[in-house]
Amino acid sequence: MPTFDIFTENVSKTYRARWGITIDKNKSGKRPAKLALDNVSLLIGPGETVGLIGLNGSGKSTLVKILCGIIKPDQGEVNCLGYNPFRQRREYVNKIGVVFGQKSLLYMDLPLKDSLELYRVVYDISRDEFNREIENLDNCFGINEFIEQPVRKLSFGQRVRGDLAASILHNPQLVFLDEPSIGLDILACDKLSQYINRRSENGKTTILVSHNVDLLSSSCSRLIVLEGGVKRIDRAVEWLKLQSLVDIEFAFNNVRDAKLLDLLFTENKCKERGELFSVLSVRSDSVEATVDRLQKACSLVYLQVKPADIRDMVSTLILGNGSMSGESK
Amino acid sequence: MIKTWIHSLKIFSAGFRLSYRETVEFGLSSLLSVVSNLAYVFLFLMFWNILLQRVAEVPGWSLGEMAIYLAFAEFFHAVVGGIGDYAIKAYVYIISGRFDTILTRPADPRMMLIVLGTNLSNLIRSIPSVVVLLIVAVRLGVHINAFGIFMGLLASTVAAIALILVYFTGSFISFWIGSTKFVEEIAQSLESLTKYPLTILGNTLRLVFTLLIPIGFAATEPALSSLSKTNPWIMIVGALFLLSLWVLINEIVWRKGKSIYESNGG
Repeated sequence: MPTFDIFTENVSKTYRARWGITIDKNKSGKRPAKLALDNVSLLIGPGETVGLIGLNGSGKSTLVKILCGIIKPDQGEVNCLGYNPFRQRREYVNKIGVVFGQKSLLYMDLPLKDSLELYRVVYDISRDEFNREIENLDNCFGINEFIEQPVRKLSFGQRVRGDLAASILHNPQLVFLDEPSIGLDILACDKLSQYINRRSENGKTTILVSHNVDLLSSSCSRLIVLEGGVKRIDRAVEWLKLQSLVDIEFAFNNVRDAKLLDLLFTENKCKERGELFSVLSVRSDSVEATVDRLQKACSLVYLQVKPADIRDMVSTLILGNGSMSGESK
Repeated sequence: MIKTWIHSLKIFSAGFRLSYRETVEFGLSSLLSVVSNLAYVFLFLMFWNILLQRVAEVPGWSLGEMAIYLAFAEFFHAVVGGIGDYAIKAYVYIISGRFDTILTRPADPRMMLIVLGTNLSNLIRSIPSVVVLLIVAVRLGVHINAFGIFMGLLASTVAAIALILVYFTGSFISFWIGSTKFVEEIAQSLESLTKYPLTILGNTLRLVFTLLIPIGFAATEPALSSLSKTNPWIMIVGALFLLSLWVLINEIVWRKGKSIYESNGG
C-alpha cells in the first residue's frame, strides 16, 4: 500500500491551440496554446488537508482536474490512491469525491433525496450505509431541512450543500473541493470546516481550492501556492505562520538605551514611530527576543502583540513574496 | 465484466424510477402530451389518406399498411426521445465543462447522460398512439404477422440505440471543434426521414439509410417484417450489424475525444 494519497512528478499541461475564424486579417486564425501547469511535483500523505491557492488562471483547477482524472496531463507521472487517475478513471473515482461549487448534477425538478438516491446506486452503497451517511451529512450540512424540496426551489447555498452531499455520500478517502464555499453562509462555512477537520482526524485527505481565507486557515494544514502554472510555495501552515510578520504595538516613557532602540527600528519593519506610540512588524519566531530587547531599550508602559493575520499571510503568498518561497523539507 | 453490467442495469433502473417520479410530478403535462401525440397521429393518417386517395399511390403501401409504418415510427421516436434526449446535447456538457461532474462518477459517462436524460413521458405518450395505429390497421383489413411485429419492435429498438450512438458520436466532435449545434439540425433531418417509408427513395438511398444510418430499421423494415414482406431474421442481423458498427465508431471517437478533453472554466 502506498504511504501517500497523491503523488505527482513533473506534471505539465498545455491547453492546445485551436483553429478558429478571426475577423482580424493581421492575426492568424489559430488561437495560441496556453501553458497551464509547468512541472508540478507533489507528495500528499493520508490525513492531510491541503489548500491550493493562487490568482485566477494560476493552474489550480487544472491541477485538480488532472488529479481527478478528468483531463490528461501532457507529461509527468500522476498516482493517486495507487491509481493512474486518467487511465483508471472508473475504478479511481469510486474512491474519491469531487465538488465543483459552480457545476451541479442534481435533478432540478425532483427533491434532493431523489438525486441522492441515484448516487447511492451509482456509488453502490447499501441502504443501511446510505441512511447512516445521510444522518452524518445532516449533522455536517443540515441537509434534512430541505431534502424533501425540489432542487429548483432551493437557495444557491442549499443547492451547494446538496451537491456536497451528493459527492461525498460514499465517504471517500480523498476529496477535492473546488470553491465549495461559494454561496455558503457563515454557519455553513463553519460546518464545512468542521467536516474537513473531522476527515483529517480520521486519516482522510482533502484538497481544497478556495479564495475563502477563513476556510483555508481553519481547515488546512498545508498550503500550496501556484503562480502561472508553477508551484511557488509548498509549506505547512504553521511554518508559514512563523515566517509571517506580527505587529508589536508599544508605548514608552523613558529611553534606557537609545542605540538599541534605533537598532530595533532599523532591523525590523517600522510601521509607525512616534514620541509615545510605535508599531514594529517582526517575524513571528522573533517576537519574544524583540520584546526582551525592547524592555532593555526603554520603559514600556503599553505593549500588545497582534497575532499573525492569516488573511495578510495568504495575500502575501498569493501576490508573491520571495522570503516565504520554497518547499517543506 | 458481469459486475459492471449489473451495476449499469441498477443505475438505469434508478434513472427510470426518477424519471417516473418526474412524470408523476408533472402529471397533467404528461397527460396532455399523450393527447397531443394522438392528435398528431390522427392528422398524419388523415394526410396519408388524402395523399393516397387524391394525389398518388405509394407503391406497396396502402393506408392500413401506412398505419403499421407509423406505429413503428412512433415507437422508434418514443425510444429515442425516452432515453436519448441528452445524447444530442452532450456537446453542451462538453463545451461548458459540466462534463467534469459526470466524469467524476464511477460509471460510463454516456450511460450517465442517458440516465440523466431519461424522459419516461416521451416513452409513455407514444404507447396509446401505437395501439391506436395498430387497431386502425386491423380495421382497414391489414393482415399482421405477430412474430414479424415482435421482431420489428426489436429491430426498431436496436435502431434507436444505434441512432443514439450516432448522436453521441456527433456530439463528441465538440472535443475537437467546440460547439456542435449543427448536429442537432442533422438529427432533425434524419428523424424527419422516418416520416416516410424509405422504399419511396429508391434502392441506393434505401441501402445507405439502412446499412449506414439507422433509419431504415426504425420503421420501414420493421413494418415490412410485420406485413410479411421481408425476412425478420435478416432484418435483425442487419440491425445488429449496424449497431455494432456504431458501437465501434462511437467508442473510437469517444476514446480519442476524451484524451484531448480540456474541460472549461474553474
